[in-house]
Amino acid sequence: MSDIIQAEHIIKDYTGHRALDDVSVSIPEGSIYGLLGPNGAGKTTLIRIMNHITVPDSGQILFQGNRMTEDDVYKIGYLPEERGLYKKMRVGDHALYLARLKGMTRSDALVELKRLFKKFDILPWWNKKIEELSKGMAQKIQFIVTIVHHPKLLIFDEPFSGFDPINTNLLKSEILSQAENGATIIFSTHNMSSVEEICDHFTLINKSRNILSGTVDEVRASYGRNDFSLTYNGDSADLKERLSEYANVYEEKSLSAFDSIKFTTTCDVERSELITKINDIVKIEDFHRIIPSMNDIFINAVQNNSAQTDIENRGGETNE
Amino acid sequence: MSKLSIVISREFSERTRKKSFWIMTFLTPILMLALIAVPSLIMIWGGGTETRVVVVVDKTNVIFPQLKSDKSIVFCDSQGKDYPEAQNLYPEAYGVLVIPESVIASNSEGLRFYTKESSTIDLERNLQSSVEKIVEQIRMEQAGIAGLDSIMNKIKADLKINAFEVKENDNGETEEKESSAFISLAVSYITAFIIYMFILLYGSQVLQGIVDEKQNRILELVVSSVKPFDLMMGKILGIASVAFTQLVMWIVIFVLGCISFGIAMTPETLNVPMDQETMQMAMSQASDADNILGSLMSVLTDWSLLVRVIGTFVLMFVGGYLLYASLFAAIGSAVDNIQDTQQLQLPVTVPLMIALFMMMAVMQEPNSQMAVWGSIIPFTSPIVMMARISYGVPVWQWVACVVALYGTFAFTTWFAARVYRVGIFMYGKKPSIKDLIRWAKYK
Repeated sequence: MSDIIQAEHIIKDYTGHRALDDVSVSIPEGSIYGLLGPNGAGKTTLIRIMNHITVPDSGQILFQGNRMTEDDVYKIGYLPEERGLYKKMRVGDHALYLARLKGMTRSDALVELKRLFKKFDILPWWNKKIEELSKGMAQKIQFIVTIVHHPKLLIFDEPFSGFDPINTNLLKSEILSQAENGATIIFSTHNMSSVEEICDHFTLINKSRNILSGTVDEVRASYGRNDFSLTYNGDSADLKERLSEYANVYEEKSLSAFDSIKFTTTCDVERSELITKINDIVKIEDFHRIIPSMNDIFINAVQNNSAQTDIENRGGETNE
Repeated sequence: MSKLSIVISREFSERTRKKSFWIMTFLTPILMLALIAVPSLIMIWGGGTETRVVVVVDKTNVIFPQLKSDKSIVFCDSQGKDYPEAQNLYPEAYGVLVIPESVIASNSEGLRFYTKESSTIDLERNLQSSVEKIVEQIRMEQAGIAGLDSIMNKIKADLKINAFEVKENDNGETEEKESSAFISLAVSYITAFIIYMFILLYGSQVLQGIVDEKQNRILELVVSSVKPFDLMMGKILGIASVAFTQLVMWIVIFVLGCISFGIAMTPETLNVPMDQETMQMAMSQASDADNILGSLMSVLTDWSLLVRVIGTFVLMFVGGYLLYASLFAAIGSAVDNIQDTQQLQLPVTVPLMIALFMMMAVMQEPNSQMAVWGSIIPFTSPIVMMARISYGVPVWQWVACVVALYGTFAFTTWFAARVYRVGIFMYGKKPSIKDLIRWAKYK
């Protein structure tokens, strides 16, 4: 699978603050790519650079293997986080205006827009003014103008912020159907559950740096420490004594019908072996390895990274 | 179609589609015409409708017979009664005028006018001049010089001034050309003021438009497909085309209005009864108007002057607007809302104000030091040059003015584009002029 867009060693400085510090990202064609990170990490700056809106101080963007040009912008559909429309314009005129700016001819744009308006069931709004629309209606229009020119790459910056659950689901399914039609999708978000649900690849940006990249499945699998969860019936004191040879218990819960504990193994021990060790003491109701959620990975990685950069910074100061 | 022209056509069609544009376009010239027409209409129809009765206590016994009543004042004899009693003679009388016996001999004792309510200044002046004329006549007769009337008429001067501008032509011969200070003044004033008004009116529309786009967060959606420079220039040029459309329509409406007003104002159509005096006044006004019209015609048929004025006007209008509009654009891109613009606008609007003040002075002294420099320095030149142009401007000054204006416009546009590119993504901070300059230096 080749890459549709690559950012290579991007550095971008704003006054007194480095927004991106040597960030490299490769987006495979056809993927749904999550761009994650806390607020202010530099996601939006990276997206603006990919969209040719801002120019990096150093580094370059490759589009389908070649250095990005002005015309490549036509192959991108971009839905920014901060998105507004001209309030006084008519819906149809506005959609037509934005479509033509994306390089479509007037007649092509008209045909395609009418088709999409019909599909989204909003054709009757064509002659309404933007200011008459509700926020959800305006979001639909913005979505339509993002996809109207059939871009190969779609970039959504925090697409779900400010959406109600119904519209979120609608948008989600629309984005997925775009992916099925062959478009590559980049998502910028700090909403982790949507990443697990939708994305196959991701990059985690913290404090202007790329701290973790990979496919969602791989990272989740590799990130899992040897954590296990056990739900059982029986004597918990005996169980803990038996487990202490192999593992540290870090969480205990007493429920009405069962008890449950979570533990981390301290030595290399097979799961089947563990089960046989405890099977004769307690009755096992449920036993599984804990695969970390993206949320856990996110928090963990960000905290580790922040602590690390703090140490680096402090070290630098004392050296001086 | 290029993106720039798509942006321009959006600006143009959205703005001209608004009702307020058409209301402004039609109402403004009508209001201006009304401002000119209404006072003269009031003068003609409004004044002198009330007839006032004045009782005259004439102690000289020679003045009253010569007083002529007209449609505003009717003089009545007091039938020998003195002041307080004469009051009761005619209950409807407006007042009593007492003419002392001594007025013919000397000016020491004045006329006295008694009224129940306070009298008007017009009426007092009217009475004063009527009596003064008669007294002068009597005094002249008493002087006993034969034929004094005709001598006085001969002495009375009523001359007109016709100005000629003398110029040396290419063959070294001198040419005389009729010129009129009035026409020059009018041309200067009107063209300079139009430029001032349009820069301020449409420059602030550029500002408003960009602040709106930023406030409504439209820019990021649009900027991904259009370069910020195209977007900014599209806005400036789009609004310029709206301004130009409006100007052309105003000129058409104004000319049509003047023509129809001129037809409506002829005495026959007004149907106002005129006595000899007002007729004379009207005649002399008409001959003044003929004079002005004559010199206007001479200006209009003087092709070189006409081309110079119109050509310079277009150059100054376009250059001045672009210069100021680009600065307004830079400011608009830097702020979050229109309230924050005031402080930043000051350095832009102050030169414009200075130019307007200079214009007033320049019309008196079109070739003073200040006028020359004011018409070359680009921030005041669009207005000051227009104030000077009809008086004749040396070629080198004209060239310096145009070059400086368009050079500076190129610079301000470059500066504005660089500020704009950074400013449109800056939120939450009220920038200073220093910030703007720093943004312009970004790579």
